[in-house]
Amino acid sequence: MSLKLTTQAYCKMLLHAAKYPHCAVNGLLVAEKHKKKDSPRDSVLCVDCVPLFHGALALAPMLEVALTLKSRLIRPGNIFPVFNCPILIDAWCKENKYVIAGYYQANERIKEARPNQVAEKVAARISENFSEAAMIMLDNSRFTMDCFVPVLFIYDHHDNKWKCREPSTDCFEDWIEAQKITAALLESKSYESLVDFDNHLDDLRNDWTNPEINKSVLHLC
Amino acid sequence: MSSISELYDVSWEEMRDKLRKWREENYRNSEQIVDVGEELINEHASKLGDDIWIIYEQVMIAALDCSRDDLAWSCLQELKRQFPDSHRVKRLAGMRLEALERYEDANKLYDSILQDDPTNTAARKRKISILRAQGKSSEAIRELNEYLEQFVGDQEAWHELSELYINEHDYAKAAFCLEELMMTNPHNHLYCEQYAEVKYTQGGLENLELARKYFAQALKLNNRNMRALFGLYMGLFATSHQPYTPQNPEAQGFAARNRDEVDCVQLKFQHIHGEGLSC
Repeated sequence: MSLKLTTQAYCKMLLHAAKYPHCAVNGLLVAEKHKKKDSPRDSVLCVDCVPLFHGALALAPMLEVALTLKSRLIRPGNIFPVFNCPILIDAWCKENKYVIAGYYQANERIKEARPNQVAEKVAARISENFSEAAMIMLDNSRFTMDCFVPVLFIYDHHDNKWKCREPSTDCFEDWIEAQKITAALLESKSYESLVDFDNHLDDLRNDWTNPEINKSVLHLC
Repeated sequence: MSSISELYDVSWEEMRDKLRKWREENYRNSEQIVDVGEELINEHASKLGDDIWIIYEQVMIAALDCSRDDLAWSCLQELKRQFPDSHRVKRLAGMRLEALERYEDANKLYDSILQDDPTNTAARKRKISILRAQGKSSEAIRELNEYLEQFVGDQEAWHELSELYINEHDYAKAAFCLEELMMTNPHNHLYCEQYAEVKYTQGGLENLELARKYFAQALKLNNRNMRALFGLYMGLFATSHQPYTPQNPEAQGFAARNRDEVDCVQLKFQHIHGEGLSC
């Protein structure tokens, strides 16, 4: 079962890491809900990513808010576009028919790319709801402005262990496009306007779905 | 390449004031500091007066963050020229060595500062930062604990230690550090809220109740703290489904009361929705 990434998902992951070079960052990857429930998919396409936190990743409450809090808190039908109420990830997924399909993390230190306890726990939680979930660790040491090489380590869940896949460009829907667009957005410092869930909690007006960045990606395609 | 003053239509005084604000509030927006500071230094050095030295220091540290060794080196040279025997400047030279990953040389420099002046806190903290950069968390924790035995009032150090403990998943000790911070800063809603998060993460009924209380306290101190509001809701929810046990006969009572509070929090969310508040 192979995971593939769209340009938008890859871009936003790297922008998130670039915005906070001195912190660990993490986030979720979402895929479209499979329409035919009985026939298996040949690959899971992660169409977007939700940047979650930066800094202290090992605290539970906000992570649980991100992963589990359902939209019963908000008056139904009033989630968007009013941006002065919290946008919950669960509600957004339902609205767009997405399912949480993966987890990404970039560690604080450049040379440290191994998944830690937090990564394994969250990824395990996600795979309870989505059996083909993958865990992605960013390789900080190969992360450059030009993005010449993919900077990911993708881990799949086999026999209760996370095994790292051979790195290749097969996991991209279109590697050349992803490389070009990510490099362009890094150059233009688009990461300054990237919003993660932490920023949203600081000020509810910040929109973690990042519509502006999505537009820029589309525009450059 | 247009300058900052042209791009944003600001005067040099506004740029200087912005740098001061970032300095005083300890922002780590290094790219912006480098852009603004470099222009200020290159174009308006003569107008800055004595402010220029602290600006050199601020820009140098930001330049190290952005891998601008050229800029960091030139700032360091200016400071060395002006303050030839200063420990403060020596510490900056050490930070540059750290940025180049020459940790042995940096440590030697800090040790020489400490030989001259054993009470120099900056050098000791840099040595601990080196341990953290090298991934030696347990040693960093040990050194920081020793440091805090001597310098009990150093809040930055207590906060750093709480972060180190959180990364090591030692939540009990992280809570202790945050308790120290709350004692000296009882009106700081952020410490309250972080303490509550640590307690929540620790888990167990007692800790969840405590977390709920401190989330509520954080909200009392700042009713726009969204994390505290969410945390309060999560805490209420977690503690509102406790069965009766002989060990804790009051649990059901608390649970029932907490279920009522869940409704209050939901109303609060709707209230926020109506008012459009932000944190």
